[in-house]
Amino acid sequence: MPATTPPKGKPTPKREDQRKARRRGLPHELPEASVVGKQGDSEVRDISGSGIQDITGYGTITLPRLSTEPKD
Amino acid sequence: MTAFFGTGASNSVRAALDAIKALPNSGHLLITTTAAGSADPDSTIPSGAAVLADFTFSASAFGADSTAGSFSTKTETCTASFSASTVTALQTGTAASAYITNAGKTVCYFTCSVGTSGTDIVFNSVAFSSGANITLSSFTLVMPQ
Repeated sequence: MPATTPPKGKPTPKREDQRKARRRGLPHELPEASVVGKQGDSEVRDISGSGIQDITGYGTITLPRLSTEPKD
Repeated sequence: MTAFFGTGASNSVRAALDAIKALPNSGHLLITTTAAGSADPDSTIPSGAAVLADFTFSASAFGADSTAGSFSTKTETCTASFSASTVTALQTGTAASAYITNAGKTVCYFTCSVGTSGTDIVFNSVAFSSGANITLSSFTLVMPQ
């Protein structure tokens, strides 16, 4: 089946969006999420493409043992 | 001399853990800039400390207990449940400690240290930027036998 091409003179929806973005002074396309750093098992990802580091963590609280020993 | 306490259902270690883990039901885990080691749970959050991230515990803050290990290093463990494990950083700052509070954030049950290694809560960075996604993938309480 032949690929469908838009009629001459009619921009594709994507090109039309890019044209509108140019008129507004915006970049053509939003940036992809990029890895901005890596530490241990978790990557520091910049999902928004805004330069803000997304942060991941975990926690473990170990409570003190019960004891029969008197406290000072 | 070391005493050991039972970990089975209705036994002392589990009873103690169950009492503690119920305290922050529907409460909060607040990541703050307070210097690690100076976060006194018997005082309110210092006015100079900025709250960088606010995780809300579920109505049952921690799940069921599970036993691991063998005598004499057996432990009872339970894992926290949050309404959302990823929150948006409220402001920019350096995370240093966490306060675990009631729902109204008026009572602090315990505090813990925050850092990039060797702390109770470990993040891959403590440099929080306002608007960043902050994810706490797991948070557990452990009580030794």
